Amino acid sequence: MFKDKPRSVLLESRVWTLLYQMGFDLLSGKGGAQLVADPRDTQSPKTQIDCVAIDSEVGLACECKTFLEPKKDPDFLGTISRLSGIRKGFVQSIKKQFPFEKENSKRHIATILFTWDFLLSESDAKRAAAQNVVLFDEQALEYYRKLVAHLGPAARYQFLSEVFPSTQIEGLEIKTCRHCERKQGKLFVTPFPCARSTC
Amino acid sequence: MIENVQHRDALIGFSRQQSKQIITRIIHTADLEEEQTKDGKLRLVRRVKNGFVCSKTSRGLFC
Repeated sequence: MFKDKPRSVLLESRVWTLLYQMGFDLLSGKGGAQLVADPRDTQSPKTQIDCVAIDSEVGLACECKTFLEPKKDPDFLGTISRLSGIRKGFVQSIKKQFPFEKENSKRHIATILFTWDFLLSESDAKRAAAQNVVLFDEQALEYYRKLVAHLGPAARYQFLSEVFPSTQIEGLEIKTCRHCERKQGKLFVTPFPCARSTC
Repeated sequence: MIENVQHRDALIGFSRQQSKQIITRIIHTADLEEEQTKDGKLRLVRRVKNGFVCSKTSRGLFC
């Protein structure tokens, strides 16, 4: 005996479960997280974020939107503007509340919109990209749900590569030998100068 | 400030109180009773009219 979840709740649950299975350390609880504009003021406005996932490398603020049947969102620009608007407060809050153990480390922050039965045009996608909002539709979500079922937490790296394209990742820089200017690859794994006899 | 963000381990599973509520609901739904065994553990049993005691186990209901 079971009762189906409403679509909006189901999408949020699926996204939360995906982030949990990907191994993020900190996650939002039931009903999502609330971003408080001014924590000293009890009357300060709060912004609800459907799913939040934070670890030592990244912070993700996810919004979930769905319709009962395939439809174009008349206020899509408003939705992405709102999501983009919380970015600054989200970055500052994470920095203060969950500081790094290592100094001089940088946590990458992303705002993601998960959609289900949303009809999106090319211009919508461009607008979202301009506002630094990453879009995932129901097919992408289903793909990552399957991937995480196969690979477990390792699936997060493919997910993160889609969320942070062309982003420099700390510790993965290509280093060159100062002496012979060769790139450190499989042959040159030792610190500078490289181990080649001709170097 | 972000409210309602916790460590993953704190968000999974049921609290002691929730577990108790769930068990109580199962007992009521399935019309079962709790009975203490000789070694002090609790087991769920279904009492039937003719006096037999049926024990609810993971493999089914045994009388």
